[in-house]
Amino acid sequence: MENTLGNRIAQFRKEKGFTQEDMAQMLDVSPQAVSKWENDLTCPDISLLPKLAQILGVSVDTLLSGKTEPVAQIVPVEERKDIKDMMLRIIVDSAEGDKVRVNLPLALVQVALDMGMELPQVSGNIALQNIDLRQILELVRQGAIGNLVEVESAEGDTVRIFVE
Amino acid sequence: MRVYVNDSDGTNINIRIPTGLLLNRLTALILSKVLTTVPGIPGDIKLSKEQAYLFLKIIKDFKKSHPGWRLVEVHSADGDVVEITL
Repeated sequence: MENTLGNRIAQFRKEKGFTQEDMAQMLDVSPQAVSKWENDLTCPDISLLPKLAQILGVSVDTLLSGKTEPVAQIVPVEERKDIKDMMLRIIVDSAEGDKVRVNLPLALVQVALDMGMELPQVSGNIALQNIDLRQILELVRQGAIGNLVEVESAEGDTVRIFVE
Repeated sequence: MRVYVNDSDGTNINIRIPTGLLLNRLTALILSKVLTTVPGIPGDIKLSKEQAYLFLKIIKDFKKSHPGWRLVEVHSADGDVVEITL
């Protein structure tokens, strides 16, 4: 299959288990518009790209270029973003089929940790219990971004922690 | 802020709340009081009003630089959907 924007939108949508109607509703557009995007007849309005990418669980860059998110990478000092502009994405796919996406400002996570809050304290998800957010934050301070944690619990839940 | 709930029974809730009503010192005070005085809050989190306001300020600043930021998105296996967009 040719690697077009439309094909990528369709592929990511199907991976998420959404119908075109679901996507249309989430984006406040018509299902016909989504269909046209996927058939490369039209392109999504530029203002919709960040939201579309977020819904599909990919970066705008991945959506537009087809390049997949790196597993993890170290960004040179001169290219690093301020931690205030960075986001921590927690992606949980449970064995039962539940999907949870939480997008937190990294600055918020940092402040919460400084106050003594821990992730399992607020999530209750067993798969998150052994994840040390302080270490993740330290990795980010060292320049790490991308898919930093990928865990599959014994119950079949998958947890990914992605920093961008 | 937009709170969207769609459950498999057909209940559809779409609430839009002006962010200014939520991200302010009064909300921080209320949040702090609720967390401190109401028993049984998951995680047993306690926040002073200053800490709560700091949280809300970070959220407010982040929202400015990330319009359309979706804080939470839940799609249950039963077909229920909950989305909170700031």
